[in-house]
Amino acid sequence: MNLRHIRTVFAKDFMDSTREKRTWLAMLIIPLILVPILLVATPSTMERQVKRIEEAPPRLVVTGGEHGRALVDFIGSSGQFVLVESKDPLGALRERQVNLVLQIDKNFDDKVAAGQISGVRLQFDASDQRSTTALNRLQGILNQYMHWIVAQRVQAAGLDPAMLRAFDLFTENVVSQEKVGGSFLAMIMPMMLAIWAAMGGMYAALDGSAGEKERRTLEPLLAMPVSRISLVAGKYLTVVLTSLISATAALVGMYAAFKIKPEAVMGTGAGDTLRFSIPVAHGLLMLAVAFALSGFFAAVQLAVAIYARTYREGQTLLTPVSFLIVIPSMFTQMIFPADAPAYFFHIPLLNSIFIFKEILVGVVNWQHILTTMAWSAVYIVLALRLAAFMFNREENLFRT
Amino acid sequence: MISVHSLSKSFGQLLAVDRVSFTVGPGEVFGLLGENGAGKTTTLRMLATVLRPTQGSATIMGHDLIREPLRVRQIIGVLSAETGLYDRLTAWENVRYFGRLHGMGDAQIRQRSAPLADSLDMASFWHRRAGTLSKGMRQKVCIVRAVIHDPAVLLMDEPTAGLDVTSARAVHDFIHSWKREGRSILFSSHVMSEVEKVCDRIAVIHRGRIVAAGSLDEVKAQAPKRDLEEIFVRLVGETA
Repeated sequence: MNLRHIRTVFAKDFMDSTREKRTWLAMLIIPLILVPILLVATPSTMERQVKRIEEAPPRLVVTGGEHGRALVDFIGSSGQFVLVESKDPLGALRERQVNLVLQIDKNFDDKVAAGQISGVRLQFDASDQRSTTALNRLQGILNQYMHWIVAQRVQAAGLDPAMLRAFDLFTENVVSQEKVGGSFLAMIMPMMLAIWAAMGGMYAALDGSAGEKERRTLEPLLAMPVSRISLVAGKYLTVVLTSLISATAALVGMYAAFKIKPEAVMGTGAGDTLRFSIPVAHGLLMLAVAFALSGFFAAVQLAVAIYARTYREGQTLLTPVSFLIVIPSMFTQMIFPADAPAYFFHIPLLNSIFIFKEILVGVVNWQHILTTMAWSAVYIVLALRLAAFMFNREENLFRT
Repeated sequence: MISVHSLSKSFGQLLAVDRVSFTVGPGEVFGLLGENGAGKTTTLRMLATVLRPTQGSATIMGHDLIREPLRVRQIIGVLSAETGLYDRLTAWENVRYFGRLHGMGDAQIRQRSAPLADSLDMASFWHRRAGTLSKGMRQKVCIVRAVIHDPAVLLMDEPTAGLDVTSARAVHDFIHSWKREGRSILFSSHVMSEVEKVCDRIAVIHRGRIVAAGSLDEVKAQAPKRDLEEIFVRLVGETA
């Protein structure tokens, strides 16, 4: 291995790569700007949609209303529903002309007054969010009505309605708002950070391998007095650096999005109640782990992409690698760091994700970090050997 | 000086080059003449140490291909019509990259490339990105890139393929000037007239084997009409 050759290949590949718009898009623009915008805009849009549904009073059809006038009046007085009439209530529900149908049993009022049990039936459309929202809302109103009737009956029996309440229930959050905020971040940020650390250099990997073949620059390069391992090392460093820039951009972009508009990302009120901050030392620790993750996937991507004859074929070959990164990352989203089994810290990608999660909730577990870094070193060496092997195989370099 | 002894290359069951032997002396242009797929490119790739021979041996300036590949690469220049450039780098940056990989400093690369670029009339596009250059201009960049380290031996694989007359003539002039400086040049082509124009000695290669070799006159003497194209068709036909 010749350091001068490695530096030459690295400097050229990185400069060459940065002259391509796609590199800037993948390395900086998307993680630093586009993802944070989507992170802020998507929940905001969803929240606005939910709010719009909640604010518009649902349309309710009541059948058998003459048997439960008191109940209909109770619902009407809540002001939360628009009562409409329909000759075909079920048809209207299926056509989404109304959101909910309430069927009141025969003699409902009389039975309630006589202390007997009667019933109502709610018909809704489970595929319509407006209908399910209306269902929840009416269930709440019906529960209130039922409690009021029960309280009246208890009172009529000469008892204190307070006896229906066996105890009072209080809830109290015992952790800091920073920890709650960190826990929220631990769901989304590790996944995104891992994806960018692992995949941010994919374009550079393709450009430096399959791209060399497609441009027909690989052959003159192989005829240079440079060992294959030096060549691979120079290209590898380009991919790692690109990945690391992507990961840093993703970290900064997400952090900025959470800081600037927390309520958009974490829900209304989060700006007032949830707080969080990542100390610089913790941020650097996360980047160190991201570096190790980039190091592994950079070598894997180079090893796979050198097999491809063209850039396009390389993209196809790297698609399964992308799935191997994205899908496990998504599955880890709802697993809390404390619930991570010990073996997770031996598996590439998973170990990094759970280190990120731990750090975000304020836990710096050196045993986990050292285990992750030690395994990363092993995986990097193995992946680099694979990449060097692939760069040495004539069958790969001159595939037709 | 190139010395090739019974060199063979197989790809699985396919024998691409079969016991090829020849020598190229100093100041000599040796032509490998053959159809597409005859084994010319594979032979040149083995000599460039890009492919490893299955059998046989070869030395370039006394250095063994298999035992000293890095040393061999230091003394050869490789030029092919098929090789490309980094489109996002300028002509100068392309040349500089290869010069650096040969261990040269930037000042040395500048000093060495200036007369070459001048002789090939490259001043107008020396600092333009390769992606914007015509095929002829690109080939001139490839020439400078191939010889930036002042190699003693040149391996040229159909270097004029696809070039217009003017650009092809520039390549031919370049070969003649390098020949005069005493360098060994191995030149492959499937164009008979070009081989006649450029080469001192030739070998006709067909299906991986050399079917005739010698000076142009010696090979031409094998047919009454002394027309190289006819000789080639006859030789290839005999071995088909």
